[in-house]
Amino acid sequence: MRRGTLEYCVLALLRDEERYAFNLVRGLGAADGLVTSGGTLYPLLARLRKDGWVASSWRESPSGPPRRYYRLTPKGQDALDQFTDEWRRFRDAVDALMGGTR
Amino acid sequence: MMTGSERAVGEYLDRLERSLRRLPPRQRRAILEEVGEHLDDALAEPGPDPAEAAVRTALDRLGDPDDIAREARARFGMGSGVPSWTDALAIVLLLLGGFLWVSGWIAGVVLLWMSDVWSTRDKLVGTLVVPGGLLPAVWWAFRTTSCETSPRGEAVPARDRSYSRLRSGGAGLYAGSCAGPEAGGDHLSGRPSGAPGPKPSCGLPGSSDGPSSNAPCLA
Repeated sequence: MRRGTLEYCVLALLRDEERYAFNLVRGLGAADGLVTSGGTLYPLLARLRKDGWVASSWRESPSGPPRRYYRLTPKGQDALDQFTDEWRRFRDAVDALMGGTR
Repeated sequence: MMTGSERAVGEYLDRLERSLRRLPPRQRRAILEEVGEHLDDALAEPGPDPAEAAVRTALDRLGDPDDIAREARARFGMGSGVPSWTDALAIVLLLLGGFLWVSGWIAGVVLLWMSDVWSTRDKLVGTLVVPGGLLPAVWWAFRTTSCETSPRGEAVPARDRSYSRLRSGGAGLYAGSCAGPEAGGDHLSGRPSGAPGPKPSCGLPGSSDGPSSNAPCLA
């Protein structure tokens, strides 16, 4: 389940701003239990780029050297919106059941 | 002059590259580049640590290259990379299937191409090299006076005749077959980590130099 959810977490981090990979890894690392090791994010980013859900480009960064910035594509935005709906329904259903057995 | 930190980073990236070898080259390059950039970023961050400790922390956080490779295979739908019994059977049939009439070998090729353990290159080697590699086995069984030069050309008629010979001299034939297909079989069985299957262990000089290897003339 974590693997299936993680890609949408990456998309969600890119919803409001472009980020470079190192910054994404840190953003996800801050969320407890989402990523076991930072390196596993790179295959995911490669996959998202191949599917056209994110795009990347080299840009100057405010601090440090030029970096590869990731941004959400319209296709990625659609996928994220769809997942967000499904996730809310799923979460509510599970919450209702879990709450009921306690 | 290379510092200890640079060496540690280099070793890590080398290990990662090896672990990712089954990935399409483009994806492999992308992942390697970005992990390299990640390390540059991590090490550029100001911190109280002396350089080597910082490198170790950065590498620890990235995680084991094998984990990254496993994730990559999962993301790109390349299967687990863990060999199954059909993969072992593919090796056995490729090595010995030619003696179970040709159908055994064909079944081996089918299993080989169905497997997700090997790369396309491995599969090509397994398909093209192994039947040619069987020639020394046939030669060994017959001990004919002529030394064959074409690995493909005379293999089939020679193998037909080998069935009668098989009953009388099976042991010798097997000994030859385990030396002959070394080029293809060893290539395949050495690929997946801990792959089951026969490892050709006896060596015949000159038998392991690829598709063009001819039967060595020992007589």
